[in-house]
Parts: sequence; structure tokens; C-alpha cells
Amino acid sequence: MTAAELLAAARTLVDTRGDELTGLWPRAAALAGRQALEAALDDLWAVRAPGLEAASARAQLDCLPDYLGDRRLAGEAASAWAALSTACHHHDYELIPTADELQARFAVVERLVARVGVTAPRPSSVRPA
Amino acid sequence: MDPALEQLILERLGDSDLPEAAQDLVLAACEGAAELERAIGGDAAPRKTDAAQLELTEAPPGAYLESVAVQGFRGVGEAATLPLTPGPGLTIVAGRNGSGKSSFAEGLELLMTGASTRWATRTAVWREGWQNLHFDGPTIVEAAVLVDGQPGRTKLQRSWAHGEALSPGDCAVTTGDGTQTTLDALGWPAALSRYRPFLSFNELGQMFDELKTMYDALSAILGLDDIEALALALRDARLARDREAKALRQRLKDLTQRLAAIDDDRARTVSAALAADPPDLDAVELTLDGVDAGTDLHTLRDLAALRAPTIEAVDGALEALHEARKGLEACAGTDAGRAASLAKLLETALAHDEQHADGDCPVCGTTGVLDEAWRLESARAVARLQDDAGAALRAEQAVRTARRRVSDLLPAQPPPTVSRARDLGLDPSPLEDAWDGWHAQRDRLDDPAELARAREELDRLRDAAAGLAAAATEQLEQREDAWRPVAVELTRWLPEARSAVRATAALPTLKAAEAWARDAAAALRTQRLEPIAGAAKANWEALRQGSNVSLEGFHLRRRGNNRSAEVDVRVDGSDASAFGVMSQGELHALAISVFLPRAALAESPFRFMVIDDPVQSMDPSKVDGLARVLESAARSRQVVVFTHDERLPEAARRLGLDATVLEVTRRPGSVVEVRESRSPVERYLEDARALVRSEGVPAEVAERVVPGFCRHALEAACSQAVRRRRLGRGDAHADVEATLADATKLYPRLALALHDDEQRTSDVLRTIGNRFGKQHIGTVKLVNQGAHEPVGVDLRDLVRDTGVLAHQLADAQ
Repeated sequence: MTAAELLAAARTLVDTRGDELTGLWPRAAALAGRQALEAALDDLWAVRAPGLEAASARAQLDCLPDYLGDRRLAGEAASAWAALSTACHHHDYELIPTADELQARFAVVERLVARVGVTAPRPSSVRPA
Repeated sequence: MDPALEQLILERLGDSDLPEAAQDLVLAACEGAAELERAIGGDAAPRKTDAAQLELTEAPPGAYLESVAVQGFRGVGEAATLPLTPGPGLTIVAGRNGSGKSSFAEGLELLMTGASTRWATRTAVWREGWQNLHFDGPTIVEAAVLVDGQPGRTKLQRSWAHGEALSPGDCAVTTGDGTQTTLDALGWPAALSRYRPFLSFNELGQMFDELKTMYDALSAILGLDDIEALALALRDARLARDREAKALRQRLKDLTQRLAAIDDDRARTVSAALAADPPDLDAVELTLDGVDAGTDLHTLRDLAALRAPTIEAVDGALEALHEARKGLEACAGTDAGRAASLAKLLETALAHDEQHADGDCPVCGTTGVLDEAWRLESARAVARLQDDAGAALRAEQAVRTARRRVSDLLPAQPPPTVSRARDLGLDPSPLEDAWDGWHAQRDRLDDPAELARAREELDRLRDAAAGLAAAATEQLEQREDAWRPVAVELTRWLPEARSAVRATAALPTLKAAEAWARDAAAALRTQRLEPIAGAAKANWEALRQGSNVSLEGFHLRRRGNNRSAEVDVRVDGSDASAFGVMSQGELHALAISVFLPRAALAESPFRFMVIDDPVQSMDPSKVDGLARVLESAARSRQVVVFTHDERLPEAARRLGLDATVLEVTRRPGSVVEVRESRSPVERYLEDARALVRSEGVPAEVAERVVPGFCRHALEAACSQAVRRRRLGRGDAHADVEATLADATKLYPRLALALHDDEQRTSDVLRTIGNRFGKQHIGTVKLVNQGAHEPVGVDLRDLVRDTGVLAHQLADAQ
């Protein structure tokens, strides 16, 4: 799945109603959203810095401002990743994120995906599913 | 008054040595202030002497909650239902701030009480947003309740049109058989204030904001409102009379001073009457009415009324005397006596002659002289003589009458009043002299000169009398001028004074009744507080974990309008005031300690209690205590606790407490969902299975997210193992939580769970292989990698393997 597809899937999880997803959708959406963000980073590295995708997420985010060409968006992406990651691990005392929180993070991911599309246009960024 | 309380009062009265009059006042006060006033006025209703006359109202039937549903209210858009299990037990409703969970708690409170404590202090702007923004249908809050002895469920509902301002509205109540009834008919409104089954976070904080807030909270549930009201009614009545008595004393002092400055018998009489204890107001009234005016005033009034004979009367009398005397002179030379005697003699001679007619004179013996001519002559002489005698007699009589008329113009002596004029500073001597002069003159009225002198004497007397009367009148007016304003004031004041005198008379009895009621209230307060205080202390012992503050006792004190709750605590063995030494979290814990036994009183019809967010500002060790305390309360009551984080559910699970955890989530558009949540491990595994099964989630999306849920399950299993081990061996709560918070990722968590050391991540996979089987090395690797990218395995197998591993990890020693 592409970054954009993963993001769309994450959003669908938030918006779709259905008893079978009651209570689990926030975590599922966070997992999908974080992968959308990571996929966008992979796309960026593939064009601008091959090999960097193997580094730790923390290291990738540290390098992001230099390669993305938008320091502000890079900062927001880093905090979105941290927030989504929190929901991707079990925390005893934290409850799942709210829909508003998730949507705010997804908006950042969406801008990141768009920005990567401009900064690192490459046909191969559309991977086979 | 609450009949049960009235019964208690009757019993206590029976055992007391309070005088009967004071007992009557206490009983009248039980009926309210109006009845008390009547009783003080001596007009009491017949006394209830025994309990048989009291109608003991039965306590309202008990009730459990079955569900709470809200729609278009606060954070909830379309209808959302919070399902609850009727019956004793602990239900924890967990949801993030903003998830809509508090809308259930607030909705229920609004539904049952028509108000919300959380809103009471909010601004209008805040209240305007009470309806949900994402919903344009009506706002509906309803609850299904199982009421003792009533088949089916009773439904409570309040509703408001969209856009309506917040107002309590009416609560529609429908019983199991479809009958419409009201909250009042259920007997709940009174019980709601007394045994309030709701405790919001705001109340937790406010309970100790002011000492009297806690007093009020406790006093209400102690069911002593009525006896407090009784004591207050007596006190108010006593105060009102105190004021009256004081005003009376002041007024008496003022009046006495003013009266002393007035030289008037009435002032002296009134002064004396007012000086009596109690003041003799009847005497005052008599004096004001003029019935008892005093001697001076009578004297003055008599003097002022002094009148000498008028000139006309004097002239008339003197003229009549003059005329009479002239008539007498006209009869002069007539000897009335001789004429009468002669007439009688002749009559006798004529009579003799008629009987013995011999013609001889029986007196001189001359014969033949008594002939017919003599007889005729003699008869004529008798008639003439008789006329002469009568005229003279009448003239004499007329003179006597005229003389009497003159001397009757004035009595011989002046009236006694005249001499008393001297006592009043008036000079009666001119009058007395004139009187003496007249007296000397009145017997000498024989000639016109004497009559003229008599007239002069009378003129002098008239002038003197008029002078004395004028002086008396002047003095009378002076006295009236000084007296009248006071008299007017006294007249106006009399009704008030009578009331004040009655009030003063009622005071001792009233004071005795008041003191008795105050003591009774204090005694009942202590007696009723005892079980609650005991339970609160026990709760605090469970909650205090880690606190050096121990709870010694509660006291509720009331002095008039000053109410205070005193909480005696000891800090490291030294006495202290709870409010000085306890932290916010400790105060909250204390508030909960008090709330639980209060809401669990047997008399309360509410078998449920709803607590909103008690965990805030509590440190982790207290949460364990809280979970235990709540669970113990839940053995006899349906306890519903709302919480914004996972600490309480976690503590309940770890401590093995029997709790139902409901999770509230809110989708976009204020769609609020509630689901039951098991342990985190079970929940993640179930979520993973649901995602695999789900037809609504594309396989490629499931492949992306399911491994993440599996990793969650393993992490949660690790936490469970770490907590059980570390807390079990006595590690500090805070330390354990800090360690777990630092190790959020899978490998450090596994290292902690397996090696009790988050650093030993490199040993994790080998240990898992050794302890749980080689295949689980793959499980761990797959779930960790799969959280980031597709791993291309059968998700069903992955979830199953994760479940096996997670359960083993959770039990790891």
C-alpha cells in the first residue's frame, strides 16, 4: 500500500461505523496512520538518501528537516510520529487517542505525503500492493 | 418533620426533665415556625402524646440502575446507552477526557435531580453549550431503573427541544406496568438530597473548600436537617423575643426618664406602673383612658369648673325677696294668729248654739243675746277672720322661701376643692374672703341697703371664683401640654408593649426549649455520625497508603449559623487539623471516605452510587486503596465509577477485584460508543481477532494493523508480570510505574518481564526460546516488525501464537 492509501485506510477506520470495530478503531487507525507516515519517509529516502530507511525512526526524523526542505512540517511530522507511536504501544494508564487527536495527526501526515510527492517525485514510489 | 426523627424527639422528651411548657414548645416547633408562634402565644394544638399518632412514612423502595441513555447532550450526539448490571457490584467506566463518559454521569444527575453540581458554578456561556453541537434532534436523558417490589423496569426521562435553554424540565416516570408517575411519588427528591448518590469531581474538591460545605453534606445525610431546623426555629423565636425584650427595656428606660420630667399625677402613676415587673400595662391604660386621673387633676378640673351664681340668678333671688317682703307689709296689722283663734272660737260658739239653742251666752251668761242676727253676723265674721289669717300666713311663707332662695345661691362653706388649690400653688384666699363676706351678709337682707351690699359681695365672689378657675384652667392646660405627647406615645406603644411583655414572659421557657433542642441535635448528630465516621475511618485506612496522616474522628459542630465539620487527624503521631496538612489528593481520598458510607446508608433508597473521576490528583499507591475501597462498597451497592485513565481498571484487574470495566470512545460527530473491556491482554487479542474477521476492513489494511494489536498484547502481558512481581515484593508504586513508563517498547518490556532488568534486551529472544519454545522467537519478531510493515504471514496464526505467548509472559515469575 502507498503512503496515501495507508492514510486513507486510517481515516476510513476513524470514520466508519460498525459494531465490530467498536473501541478498537482508534488504535487500528493510529497503527495505519503511523505506517502511512513511515511509508512517506521511505519514499523520500528512496530518492534523496537511499539507505536511510534502514536507520531507526528517531534518526530518520532527525534527518528529515534537511531533506524535506520544510523545517516546520518536518517538526510537526516528528511530533505526529511520536504521538501515533504512543498509541502503537501498550501504555497502562493511557487510554486510546480520541478521533480529534487522530485527525489532527493525519492532517500532518497528509501534508507530509504531498510534500514528499513534490520533493521526491519518482514513479517507483508507487509500489505494487 | 421526619416522623422517625419526631419519634426520637418524643422519646428523648419523655426521658428529659424539661418543664412541660418547654416541652410543648419543642413539640410545636416540630410542626413548624407558625405552630411554634401559636404555642408561644398560648394557643397550642393538642399535644401528640405517643408515637401511635405519628404516621411513620415508609422509606422509598430501593433502586438499581439498569442503563443510562443520553442523546444530544453535552459530548453525546445521537443516542448512546451505558449498559449497567443491576445489583451490587463495581462498574468502572473508562474514557478519555472528551470521550463523552462524563455526559452519562452528568446526564444521570440532571435526570434525577434536575440540576448538575458541575454546572452550578459555571458561567452562562458554558451552560449555553449544554446541547450537543453535532446533533439537531431533541436532547433526551433517560435511565432504566429496577425498583424494589415493582415488576419490570421503571423509566425516567427528561427531554428538551433542540435549541432550548437549559432548565430542569419535568421528569417523566413510567413504571414497569406503564403507569405514569413522578419522582415525588417515588419519594426520591428528599432522599436525593439526603443520601445523594452522586459524587462529582467538583464536589470532591468542594467538600473541603469550606468547613461548612462538609458540614452541610454530612448533616443532610445524617438526616438531621429537620432537627437542625427545629433548633433554629426555636432559636429564631427566642432571638425575636430577645430583641423585643431588649427594645422593651430600652423603651421603658426612655419613657421613665421622660415621665419623671412631667409634674403630673398621671405621669407618676404610669411611671409606677411601668416600674413594676412585669410592667402593669392595665394600670397604664386606665390612666390613659382618664379613669384614674389622680387627685391633682381632679382638683384642677373642679377648680376650673368653679362657677359663682350668675348675675341673673342673684338678681332674681334678691328681687323675689324684695317682692315677698312687700307682700308681707301689705298684711301688716293683721294678726294672723289672733284672727285664726277668734274664727275657731266663733265656730265653736256657733256649733254650741245650734245644739243647745237657748239664746243665752255661755261665756258671759247674758241671756237672750244669741239670736238669729248674732248667728248670721258670727258666721260672716268666721269667714272674714279665716281669710285674713290665710293671707298673712302666705305672705310670711313667701318671705321665708325668698330668703332661702337667696341663701341657697351659695353654700355656707366653699367646696373643699377650693382650699386644696393651695397645694397646687394657687391662691384661693380672694374667693374664701368673698365667701366669708357673703356669708356674713346673707342673713342681713332686711332692707334695700343690705340687699345692695349682698349683691356687691356676690359680685366680688363671682370675680374671685372666675379668677381661681382661670388659674386652674391655665395650670391644667400646662399639664396637658406636657402630658399629651407622652400620652399619645404611650397609647400607640401599648400594643407593642403588651406583645413585648408577653415575649419577655415567654423567654425562660423558650430558652429552656432551645437549649434542649440544641443538645438533642448535638447528641443525635454524634449518634448518627458514628457509623459513618467509623466506616470513613476504615476507608481512609485503606486509602491512605503511603500517607502519614491518620484519621482520628469527625465532629460536626453548630453554633447558630456557624457550622463546621472538624476532622481530627494525626500526622506522624501528632494532632493536627486535616485541612492544614492534607494534600489535595488526600483531601479527595478523605471526601470519598466520607461519601461512600453516606451513600451506602441502609435508609437510602438508592442502591447505586455514581462517582465521577475520583482518581484525579491521586498518586498511584492511593489508586490501589481506592480500588479496594470501591470494591468493598460494591459488595452491598451498585457502584459506578467514571475515570479518565486506565489506572483504576488496571489496579482492579491486578488486585483481582471483581469489576466490570466499560470503555467509552467517541467517534467524529459525537458518536459515542460503549463496550465492555476485559484485561488489556484479552482486549488486544480480541481486537486483533475482530480485525482479522472484519468484513469492513480490507485484508491489506488488516495485515498492516493486526500485528500492532498483537504487540500491544505482549506489552500488556509484560506489564502485568512486572507489576505483580515488583509490587508483590514491596517496591514503591511510584518506582514501578516510573520503570514501566521508561520501558514502553517491546524489547525493554520483555527484558523487564523476563529478567527484571530493562537493559537486558539482547537476552530476550534466547530466553523466550528457552522458556516458551523456539517458535515464539518468530512470534516476537513478527509482531514487532509487523507494526511497521507487512510481514506476509497468516494473521490468524499470528494472533493465536501471540495469545499463547502473552498468557505465558503474563504468568512469568
